[in-house]
Amino acid sequence: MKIFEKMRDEYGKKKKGYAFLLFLSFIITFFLSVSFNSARIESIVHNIDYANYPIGYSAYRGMDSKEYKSVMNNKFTNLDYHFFYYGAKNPDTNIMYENLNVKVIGCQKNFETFPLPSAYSSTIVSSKLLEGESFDDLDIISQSNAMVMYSSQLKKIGYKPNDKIRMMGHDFVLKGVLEDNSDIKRNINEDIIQIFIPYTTYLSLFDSPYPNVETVIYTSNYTFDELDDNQNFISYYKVQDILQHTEDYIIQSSYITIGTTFVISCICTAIVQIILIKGRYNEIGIRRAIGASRDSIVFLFTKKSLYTILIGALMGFLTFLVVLFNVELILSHIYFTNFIMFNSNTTFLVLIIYIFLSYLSVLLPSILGTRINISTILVEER
Amino acid sequence: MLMSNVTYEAKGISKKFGQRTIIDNLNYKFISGNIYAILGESGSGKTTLLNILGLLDNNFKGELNIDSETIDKRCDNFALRNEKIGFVFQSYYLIDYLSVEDNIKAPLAYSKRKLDSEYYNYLIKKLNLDQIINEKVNYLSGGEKQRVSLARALINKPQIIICDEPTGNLDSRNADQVLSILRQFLSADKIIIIVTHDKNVAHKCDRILELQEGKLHENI
Repeated sequence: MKIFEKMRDEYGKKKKGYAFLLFLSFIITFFLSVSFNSARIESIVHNIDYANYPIGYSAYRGMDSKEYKSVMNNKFTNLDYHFFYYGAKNPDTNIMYENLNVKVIGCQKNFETFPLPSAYSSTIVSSKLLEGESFDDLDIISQSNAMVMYSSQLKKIGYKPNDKIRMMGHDFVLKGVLEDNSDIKRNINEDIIQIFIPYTTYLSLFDSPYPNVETVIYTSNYTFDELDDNQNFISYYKVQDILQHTEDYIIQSSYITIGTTFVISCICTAIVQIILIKGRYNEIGIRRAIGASRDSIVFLFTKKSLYTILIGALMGFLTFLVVLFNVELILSHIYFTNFIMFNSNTTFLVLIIYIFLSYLSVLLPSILGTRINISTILVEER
Repeated sequence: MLMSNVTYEAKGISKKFGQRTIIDNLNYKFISGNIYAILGESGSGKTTLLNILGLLDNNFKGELNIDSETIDKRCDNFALRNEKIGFVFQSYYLIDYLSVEDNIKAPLAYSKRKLDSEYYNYLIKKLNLDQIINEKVNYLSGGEKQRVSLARALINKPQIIICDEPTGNLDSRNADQVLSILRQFLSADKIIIIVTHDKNVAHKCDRILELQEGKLHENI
């Protein structure tokens, strides 16, 4: 209680300065928290139709530095690598597909009507070649690493014809794109990406439970969900992405906001600290005259400002939580989907970075404030 | 308790402000057990000299020795100020949001020395501060503030007490009281230096020094 009384006595003197610092901390923490989480929020709102898809695995999960590199090239350069960790994310829609299943299908040439009728194929869907080329004799004979995919699935993972895709350790070239009734198909096959390759290639690379089949060969699903998606990793890499100047416009705009907020916050906090210190030059002179070292004066001033910053940050953080959970509640009612927009790691990071930077921005004026000649302060006060 | 003599020597002290020489090759040895009055006209450099002697200003030529030990001008000397020097200012320079008690004990916060409760009680009783010890200093009268300032200067038992116009803002009754207190606390190991322009105050001191043209002249 005595501490609070002392603080009240002292703060009462500089009420406006500390009140402003408190308010500033509150506003800054709030906006920082919003900015840091905005990539997730914005992306969900932006892709609300996709997120609301009745496919269980599609959800936006942020972006790590490896994905960032992929996005830079506007595609995933190494399909199974991405699947192995997090699933895949379409750079156009920013939707992250977790636990994505890939079904590799070996098949014959001529995709004019595809797949070809087969005793082992339960579903026969006639498909037209939309773009690129189908397999030809040469592909079959030479066991080429050519592949064909459905247009909707291709769009989902962000590839174009003639792109190279690394899959199961082998480089494939996307030779053609098949038309499909994407909505229906995706609902039926539960987000399985179907990739068609020449059956000869299939036999040589992936082996087959049906060695005598010459027409269509279906395999068991290849699942690339061996590691759990780790939210910590994503949060961590998000910060890395700030440094790497990610080109993803949503992420980029968020980070610009965060950076700007940090800069403004540091400048404002420093200005407030300068005002507070200027108002207490007299005290600095007195304390220095009676034997206080510069360090102890710096500690005294930064400690008091840090209390204010912490209180403001806490208030801003709590307000952010209230706003966020209300937004989340409203969205989940509209779209019947749970949007887990709050990221505890990210928010914790916001608080730590904010407190650290704020401390730095009060530290510098405090150090400069103690550099002034004591006799000058005491003479000026007369 | 046997008290040893303390000397505080200024050797070749010079200080300039721009082209103007304020203190010019000043030499003087202060010896403990005396109250020194430094007289001088306005602008003669009294406060400048006091700042130098009080280690508040390191930017001067020459050297200062306490007991023949040279003070390092390159250092901040905050510990030396805390342990060996006590200040009493005309404007009191108390920390106004703190209580009388906290103001008095403030130097101890920067000292290795622990509070000597017996001495502290003696001090506040002697300075008649026991009734107002929990008051905020900005509610006190000028005389009370100066007594608090004196108590703060004495709490660390410094060897050198430097007073800059300690009676400047006080009426004659309070001024006499301050001087009387200083006299009471003077011991064989203490040097008290009072900078004043008041000749009445100076005549109550043991030695009167006059600052003229940057040099100290002793009037015996």
